[in-house]
Amino acid sequence: MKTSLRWLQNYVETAWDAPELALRLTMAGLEVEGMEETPALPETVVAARILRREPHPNADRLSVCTVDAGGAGPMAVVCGAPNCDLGRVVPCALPGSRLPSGMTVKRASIRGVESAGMLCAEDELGLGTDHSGLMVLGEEVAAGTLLRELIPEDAVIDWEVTPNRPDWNCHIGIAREIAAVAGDASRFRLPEFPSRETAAARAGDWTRVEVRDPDLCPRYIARIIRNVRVGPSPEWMRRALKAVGIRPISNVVDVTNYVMMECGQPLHAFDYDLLHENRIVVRRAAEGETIVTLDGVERTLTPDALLICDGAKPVALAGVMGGANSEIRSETTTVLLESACFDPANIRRTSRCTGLNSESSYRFERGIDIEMTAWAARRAASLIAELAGGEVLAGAVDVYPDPWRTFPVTARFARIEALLGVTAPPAAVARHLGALGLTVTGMTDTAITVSVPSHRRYDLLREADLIEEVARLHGLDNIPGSQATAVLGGMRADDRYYGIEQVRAELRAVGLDETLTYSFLNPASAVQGTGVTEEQVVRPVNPLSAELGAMRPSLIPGALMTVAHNVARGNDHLAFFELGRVLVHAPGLPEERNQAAVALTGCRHPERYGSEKAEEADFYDLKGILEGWFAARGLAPDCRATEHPAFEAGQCAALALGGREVAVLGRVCGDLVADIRLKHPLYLALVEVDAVLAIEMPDRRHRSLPLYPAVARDISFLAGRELTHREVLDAIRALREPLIESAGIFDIYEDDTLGGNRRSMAYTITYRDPSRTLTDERVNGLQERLRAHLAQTLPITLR
Amino acid sequence: MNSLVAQMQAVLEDAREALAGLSSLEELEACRVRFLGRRGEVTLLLKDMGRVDPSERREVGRAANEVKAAVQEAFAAALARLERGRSLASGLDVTLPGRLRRAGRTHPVTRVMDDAVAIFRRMGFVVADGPDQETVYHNFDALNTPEDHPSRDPQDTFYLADGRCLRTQTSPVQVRVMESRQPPVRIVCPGRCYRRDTPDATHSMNFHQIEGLYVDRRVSLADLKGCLEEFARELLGPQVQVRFRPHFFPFTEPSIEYDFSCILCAGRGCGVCKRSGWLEISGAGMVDPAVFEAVGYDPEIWTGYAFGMGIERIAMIRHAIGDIRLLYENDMRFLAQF
Ligand SMILES: [Zn+2]
Repeated sequence: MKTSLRWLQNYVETAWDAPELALRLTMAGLEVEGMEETPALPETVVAARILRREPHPNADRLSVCTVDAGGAGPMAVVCGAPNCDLGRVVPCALPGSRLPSGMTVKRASIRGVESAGMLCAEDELGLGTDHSGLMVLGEEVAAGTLLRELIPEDAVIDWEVTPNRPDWNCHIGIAREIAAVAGDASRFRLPEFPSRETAAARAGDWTRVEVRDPDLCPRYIARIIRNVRVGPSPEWMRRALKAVGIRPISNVVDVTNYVMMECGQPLHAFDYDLLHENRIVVRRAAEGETIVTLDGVERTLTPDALLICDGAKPVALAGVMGGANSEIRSETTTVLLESACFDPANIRRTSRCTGLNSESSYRFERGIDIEMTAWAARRAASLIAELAGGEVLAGAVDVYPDPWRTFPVTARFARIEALLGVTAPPAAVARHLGALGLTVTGMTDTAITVSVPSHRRYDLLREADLIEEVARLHGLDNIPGSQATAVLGGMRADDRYYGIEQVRAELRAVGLDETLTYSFLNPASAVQGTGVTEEQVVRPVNPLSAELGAMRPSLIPGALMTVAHNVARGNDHLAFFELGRVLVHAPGLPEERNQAAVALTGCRHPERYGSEKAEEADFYDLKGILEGWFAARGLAPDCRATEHPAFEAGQCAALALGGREVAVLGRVCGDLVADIRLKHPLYLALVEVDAVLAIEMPDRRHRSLPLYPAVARDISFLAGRELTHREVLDAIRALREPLIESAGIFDIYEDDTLGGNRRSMAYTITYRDPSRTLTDERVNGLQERLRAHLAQTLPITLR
Repeated sequence: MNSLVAQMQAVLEDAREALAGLSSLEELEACRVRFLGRRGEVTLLLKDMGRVDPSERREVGRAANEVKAAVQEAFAAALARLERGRSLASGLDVTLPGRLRRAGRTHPVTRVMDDAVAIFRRMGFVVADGPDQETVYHNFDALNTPEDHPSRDPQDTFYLADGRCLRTQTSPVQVRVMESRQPPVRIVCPGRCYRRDTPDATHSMNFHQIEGLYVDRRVSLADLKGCLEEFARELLGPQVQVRFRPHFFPFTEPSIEYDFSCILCAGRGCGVCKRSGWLEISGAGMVDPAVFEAVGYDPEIWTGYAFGMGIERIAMIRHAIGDIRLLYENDMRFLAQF
């Protein structure tokens, strides 16, 4: 909503300049979106009428105009604009004028022709951005008129009106607010004007109004102005509308827009003679009924839409846009002026269904002041008669079956104090509410009652609404912040965020950088490598675009995108994770769960040199990262080979805790990374974080440190390559020898000479007796027993 | 003075001078032969002791031994110096890069989130959690959002086939907590939210929020202000001020928007704060009685405040980041800066 400061000053006494006004109202809840100040024009810029136009003798593009600038007779001015047409009234800067752009106009010879001034375009005067031609003034403007009188210094402020305050959508509403913020409702006044009614004819004799759906149209007023001459509006009107962003059209239409910007009531002017039977019927549209709106588009309607009709056909889409068949034409002589009130929800629906938004629908959607409807009709009729000639027929046809009545709202002082945390003396509360123009109808020691005026009928309904007004006018700056009180204990055992926070910290501690990716994915790639089917993917029904149509069912696609983005920019050594929620509709799975993706590619130590620099991170680096992380939580996952759509066969493993699979990892399939110019293999892990967090912490009781030394013995054997490390450990464990403390691999040797797909494996077995020092003989015996056990239970050849 | 003593003093000076110029153990050996060898200068002089007058012998002998000891000490020092030099020469180039074992970095968004959660926990708030896929009831209706409010529009909110939506704020978590628990309630809800905004420098289709709710007897707007002032100072520094402006939200009444004084220009006005000295942060207010009624709290007994803030917005302010999309690109050169 744009207001002009000058325009506002018609309704409110204020000494605030534009920046002051902007700040004051911002702090009262009316935010400023933009501000444009019209500079004061110099006294030497005057209106000039073009009397003669001749081509410049020495330049094709220039003209020599003889103009009447109101001074000592006609004078010659050289002009380069295309529109310096005969008879036009345009601004002329006389020599010595210092223009807002900073340039000073001088008497000068332009290509051999003396120019006594400069004809100006809008932008040259700082009045706009138009530079396509001379600024054209109304033809009624007298030559020599000072432009600063025609276009005084002004400031236009664009306000961001919140939906709860439709009364701010007009100059009168904002003027009222200025008075309220200044603390004095009496600074505000409605303008006065003559009715310009003729006693010779009555509107009621000229037209009838029938409202068939009063629920959608609680009030409809028609006024009639006859003998009008449609033409351009005078300069002041055109300027006023342009300043607030409305294009001037004709005197009659301009008045309807002006009054709307003035008091918030949208108006519509019909050509009376185009209305069949000169009457108005307000009714719902029939199914499939059509109307051609003013923009020339034919619209097909449903019974949800409300129509303004004449005796035979629709003539306007109520509250949204007029019809092409009844609009004001240059030959219109009689105007039927509509000032009505429509149901906000209905207008919003119609506007949405038709895709039509207008200044009028904007206001009806938010709710207008139903008691201003009559005032607006009188005001507009008077202005039309003033600007377009003619006379207003006496009276109006006003269909208003259920007039609005004010209602009381009460606020308790104790409640005000409790909610705001400040003392609220009754006198101060009464003063604030009074400044808003509310009438105090009751006051006790404990509460105040006001009656609500019609322009606040939508937002002042309850005690809380009044308390908000008290807070606003008291000034939020004047409410001191209380000392934030200390409360013991901010965290509870069921704080799930803490678990997530910890996992993120642990993953960072093992050297992984944290990333965040979008939740929206291309449906085609969302399921790739995830094992999720397309049916299981969660899809918004209204995605931003088809490419962003799927919610991530897994963090794998996001991790691949992060890898691709970085590799494309030369960041080849990556170790990162993302922890986030994935959404999926799959049987047996929660529909939302926390996952972590871990990605590893590049070299282990690119910061080093020589062969070390080129050592690539491999499967075991990633596995080690996960094992290190699990170890920090006191967990030792079981690992087994597995298959997964994201990973290369034979290079993929699953980690399980307590029999439950919590992670899968491996080398990413070639076809998933076909588009990424990887310099090194990419390893990825996907961890079910909720599952990890759900695992009970293991027994954390400490064990006494050993008192007696351990003895280590090695054992090595040849085995087929299919024998896994895990199977060897399982076999050692199966012996159930309590004196074996641990077993660890220390070498694997593969060589063709070993024959037939075999390899040599070597383990160190650590023996310890907690109660005494082990003797060599004892250890030899144990070692022999182990060798025999392994030779017997595993397909190996001991060495 | 006895001439022999004077000669020995001179030899000591010679030896010291010769040793100072040495740069290798070979040279040291040559030097040792020259002074202390069987025919070395010191050895020969000591042999001359026999010719000294017996009355002087005792005194000369002591002086001679002192000189010999001094020469030997000088040799020992020279040897130590040369050996240390040789170790240094064959030692590590300690300036070569180490094998990096660095901790991973925190994403600036989660850092703000974790910091915010930590601050609010210190103030006694408990973290609550809720689903990303939310019912329209919890996301809008229970928050007093009018039936035809534009935020419900499919232009602005993502809807799912089952009629639910992707939460546009974390406020529904507050509703869920209020539905399940009687006051007092003091919670913050951090999490990911979704709005149907085409990505540009300041908009993102998903983003993070933290919202707070405190319901108790006589919780006031002044308490809300105190809480947000404390939060601003803890997060961004003791000099940060908080400004409240009236606003409108269906969920709260009175509703306010709050600003932090600009940390980049200390409130003097700069490009980031559009010369105003203030940075618009987000909205807050006193919980609307209609919301309390919807969850079965008696608004006559309980009052409460609610606030929200966008995590990305604060991260962008904190690190002077101009484009929100940088936060989701994960370019490691960008993330390495935090
Ligand atoms: Zn600033």
